[in-house]
Amino acid sequence: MLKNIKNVKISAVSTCVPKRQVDIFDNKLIYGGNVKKLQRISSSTGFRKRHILEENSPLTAGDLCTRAAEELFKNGIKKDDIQAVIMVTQYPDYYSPATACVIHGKLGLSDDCIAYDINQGCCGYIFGILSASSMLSKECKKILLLVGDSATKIMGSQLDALDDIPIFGDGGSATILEYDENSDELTFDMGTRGSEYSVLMSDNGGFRNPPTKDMFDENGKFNYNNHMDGLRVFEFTMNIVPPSIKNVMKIKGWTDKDINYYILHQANKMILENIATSANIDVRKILVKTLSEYGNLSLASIPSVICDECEIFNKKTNKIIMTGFGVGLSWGSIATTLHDCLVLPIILY
Amino acid sequence: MRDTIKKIIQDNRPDIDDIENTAFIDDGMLDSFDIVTLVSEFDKAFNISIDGADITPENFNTLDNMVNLVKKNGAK
Repeated sequence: MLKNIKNVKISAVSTCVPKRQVDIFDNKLIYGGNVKKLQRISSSTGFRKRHILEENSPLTAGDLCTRAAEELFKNGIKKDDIQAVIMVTQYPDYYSPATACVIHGKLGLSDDCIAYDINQGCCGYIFGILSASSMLSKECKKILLLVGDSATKIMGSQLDALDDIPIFGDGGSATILEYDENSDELTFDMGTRGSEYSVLMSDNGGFRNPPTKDMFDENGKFNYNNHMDGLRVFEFTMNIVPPSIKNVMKIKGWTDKDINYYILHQANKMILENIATSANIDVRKILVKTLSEYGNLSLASIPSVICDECEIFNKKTNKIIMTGFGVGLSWGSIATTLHDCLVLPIILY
Repeated sequence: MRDTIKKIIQDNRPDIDDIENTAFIDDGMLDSFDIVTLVSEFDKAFNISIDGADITPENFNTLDNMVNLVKKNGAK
């Protein structure tokens, strides 16, 4: 789906991660703590440190998003005129109600402000911006978009899951989108390939496979049966993401030279480098340092890069392309000019 | 070239005994981190840059396929 949306400004971004930091070399469960092997993996993927919730922490992705939103309010964003809260997550606080409703209450938002959730993964920030932008108008001028995941919680009993554990961090972001007739258009290229939904999924715990006794390990931890066909996801990414980036560039009439930065989902360093080669874009403009410090933050990955690079983005003007890809399988790109946006540094909870 | 590739696989996965006759993907022997590491080390060893479009399960399933992969990407 290609779409242009006018009169939308991304006006503030904040990100929150748990204060606990772990290092890939600390986990003796991964490859038996084989340092040489871990060094190779770290060097080729870029993953090193991550911020994750304490085991058995009562905090959720919703709490991290709430904290990120509160930080915006502390820094001058007014909450009185927010007319919608959209929470995008794969790991809600409850089955019901939507986590957005819980946060709406915690933040003390008005009854005129609606709240709802969207279930999306690594391109959830793009889906969230599309949803918010589609709603903004002269009558609905300000929306709070929250995106976050607590991926390490859903690992449950799979603490030695080789494909997943060393890469995911926990995090939540808050973004304010406003109606602004002077803003640059948001140009979207998005899609979903549901025929490959099983390539990346968590099978257990929903109504298709409800919890049964054998889904719990001896310590009482639930096995969500997370699995990913990493190579298939890579193949999908290489087929889909470079054309998606080119599509939004073409519609905008931009070339690589016009673009200041590419803010891509922090899947891993090698994937990002391959995307640059395939899309024929300058790899130096792809921001990658966030993944070695925070890991793959799933939904919060793109806004975490913006906040981690706040010196570049805070109250500045930059032509950017943001691209997410992952579970669904889904993808989405946005080309726009980020202008005069309040960008706060990543905060710890 | 074949011996270099074999050594790289062996260094990364010393637990795989019969590299010549293993179907690495079909038998579930290599995970995605192994593949990322192998691509990176093939690139370095042969001074090439393996095309992302070539990073497919099939191209990593056997030693022969990996030899063809690095050849296709310019290794001499």
